[in-house]
Amino acid sequence: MYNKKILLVERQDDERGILKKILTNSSFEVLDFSDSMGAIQWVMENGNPKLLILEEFAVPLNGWQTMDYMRSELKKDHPTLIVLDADTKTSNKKLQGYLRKPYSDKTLVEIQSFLDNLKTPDEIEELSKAYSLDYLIDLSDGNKEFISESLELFKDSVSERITALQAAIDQQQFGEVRKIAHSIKPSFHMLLNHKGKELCQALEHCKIDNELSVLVQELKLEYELIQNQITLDSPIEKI
Amino acid sequence: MKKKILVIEDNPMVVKSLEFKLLKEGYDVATAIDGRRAMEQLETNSFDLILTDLMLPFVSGDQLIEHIKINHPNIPIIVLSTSTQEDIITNAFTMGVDDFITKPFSPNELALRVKRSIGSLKKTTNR
Repeated sequence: MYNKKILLVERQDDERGILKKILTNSSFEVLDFSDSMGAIQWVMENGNPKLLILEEFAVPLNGWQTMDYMRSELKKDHPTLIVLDADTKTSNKKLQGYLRKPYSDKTLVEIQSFLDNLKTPDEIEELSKAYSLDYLIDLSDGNKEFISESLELFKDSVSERITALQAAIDQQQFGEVRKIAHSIKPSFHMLLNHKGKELCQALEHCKIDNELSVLVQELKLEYELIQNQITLDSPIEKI
Repeated sequence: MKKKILVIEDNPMVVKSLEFKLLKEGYDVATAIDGRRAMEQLETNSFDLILTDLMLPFVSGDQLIEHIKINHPNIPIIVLSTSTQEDIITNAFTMGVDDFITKPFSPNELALRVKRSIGSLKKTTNR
C-alpha cells in the first residue's frame, strides 16, 4: 500500500478544513497544522509524508523557509506544493508546484496531477522511507518470522546501545563510544538506513570528542524516526 | 556429519542473520558474543570454521586470532569486517586469517566463502 499521507500547513481554520475534507474524501490521509513548526515536528518524529502543502505565508516559518528547513536540516526532499498568495508570481526557481486559494475540487485535480507527474508511486515510496526491508527479505527469502524477529532485535538492541552511548559520553569514555558505534553500525546498514550508518561511522572516526555528543543525539533521532516509521507502516503484514 | 561453525560477533542482528543463513545452508552453528566466551567454546567444542568480528568486548581481535592460531591452528578463520577497517583487515591477514566478509554480508557471498574455507580445512587435514 502506498504512502497516502499529506502534510498540510494552513493558518486559516476554515480553509484548512475545506482542503482536508476534499483530500480525505479522495482517500488521502491528511495531517493538518495551523503552523509550520507542528509540521516540522511531525516529520522529525514520524517520518515522511507523500506530499507537503505549505501555505506561502505560514507562521512562524513561511512556506519557503519550511521547505528549506526540511531539506537542509532534516535532509528530507519531499514533493512540495506551495499555496501562493494572490500577488506572488509563479517564476520562483524553488517552486516545484503551486496552488491558489480558495480550495475547491479543482485543487484536488491539481494535486493529483502534480503527484502523477512526479515519479512512479514506487519511487516516491522508496524516497520517503526511513528504512527498507529489502536486505532482510533477500537474505531470508521473505521469511516473515525472521524479519519480524530482526526488527524486534533492532528495536531492543539499538535502543540499549544508544543508552550505553549516552552513558559513555556522560562519563567521557570516548573509546567506548567508538566501540559501541562500530557494533551497531551494521544494524542501520541492514535496514538500509544510510544516515544511521554514516552517523555511526562518524562516531567511530571522529577525532573531536566534543562533537561526539551531537552525533549521538542525531543517531538517537534517526533511530526514533525508523522506529516510528516501522510502527506506522506495519511492514510485516505487507510482505 | 554437519560441519560446525563458531560465530563470534556482538551485534545481535548480524548474529541472527548469520545463524539463519548458515543453518539454512546445512551447517551447525554456535555463537559467542565476545572473545572470552569464544575461548570457552573453543575449549569445549571442535569447530570446522570460525567467523569473527575483530572489535569485540574484553578480548581484542589480534589477541583472539593469536589464541586461535596457537591453540587451534587447523581451523580456518573468516573475519567479519566493515568497509572502513582496511588496516585492521590487512593486519589480520598477516596473522594468518583465511578470508574476510564485509558486514552486512551478501547472502550468496557468505555461502561461497564459507564453503571454500571449510573445503580448505578438509584438504589440510586429509594430508
